[in-house]
Amino acid sequence: MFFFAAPVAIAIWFSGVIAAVYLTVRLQGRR
Amino acid sequence: MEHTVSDPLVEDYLRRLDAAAAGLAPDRREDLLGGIREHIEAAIASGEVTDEASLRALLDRLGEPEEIVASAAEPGDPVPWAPPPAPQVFYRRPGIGLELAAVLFLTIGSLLFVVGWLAGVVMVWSSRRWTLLEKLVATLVFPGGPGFVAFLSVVAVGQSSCSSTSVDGAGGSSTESVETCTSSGLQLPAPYGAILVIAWIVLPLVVAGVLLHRARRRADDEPPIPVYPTTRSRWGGLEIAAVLLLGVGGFVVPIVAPIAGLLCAWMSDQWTRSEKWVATAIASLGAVFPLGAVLVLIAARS
Repeated sequence: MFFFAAPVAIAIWFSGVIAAVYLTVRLQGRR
Repeated sequence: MEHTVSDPLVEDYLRRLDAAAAGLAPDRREDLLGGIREHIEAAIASGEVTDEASLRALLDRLGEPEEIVASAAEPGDPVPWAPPPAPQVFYRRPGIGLELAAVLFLTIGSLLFVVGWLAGVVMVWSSRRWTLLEKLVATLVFPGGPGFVAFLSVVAVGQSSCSSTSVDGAGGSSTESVETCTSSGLQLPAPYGAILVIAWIVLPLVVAGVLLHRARRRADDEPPIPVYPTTRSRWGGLEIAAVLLLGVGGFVVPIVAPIAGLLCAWMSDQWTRSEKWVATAIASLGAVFPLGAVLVLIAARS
């Protein structure tokens, strides 16, 4: 079970990080 | 010609004084206007004003109406109206942050499983600096990016193992060694496999370089962006919460925190609607991709 759960959790976290970076870049770029 | 306070010059002067004193308290304004009018009348009556030149000299000595009001104003009175200083405007070169991020995610970011590459694809298609053909090329050369082929080459490609067993020869006089080899995973003839792997790693980098160069060139052709000095930071509570929940919260409370982060982003008025959609799509990739993998596994078992 852990074999599947860990990559899934990491994938979900990574995509959140990428979304956060994207929003940060867009907001900073508008100054 | 006899001058009176109804002289156009005097009338104009008094009208300007009246306008400049608009911010004063009504009684102070009346006093000021009455005092100046009396002063002019007295000067005319005394014969000091004989012609237009002497009238102009009198008004000059009185000073500009705005100056009179400013000197008559007390602390707390509104300052006579004056045009506000024009805001200082700077211009900056249009940035290609989105395109740079897209290219980085398509190449280096593809090492983050497949999620990084998919995020790059979303960014590529949300950019307006690339043509349809360029977006297709960026997406199709090669799916998954260099990270995916690196993953494949480690996990899936050509694992073979050999074992030898001893077999008694005819008549029991001698033994022969028989070697049997089994292989699993993706097997390609030697030269083609190597070429494919190299192409899969090199071509995306080449395409990324070309696309980035074109994006920079097109951005340079766009008009410069005016930058108005702003005292209000764009980073309010909602924006900080959105970024923290998406970035850090997902590690602590998976799924719930990113959803809360996206809600904060949607409630904020600092991002455009399209930016919110792109962020939502990127954040959803992590859930969609494993879900698809699970569905494929279930389908394969049944």
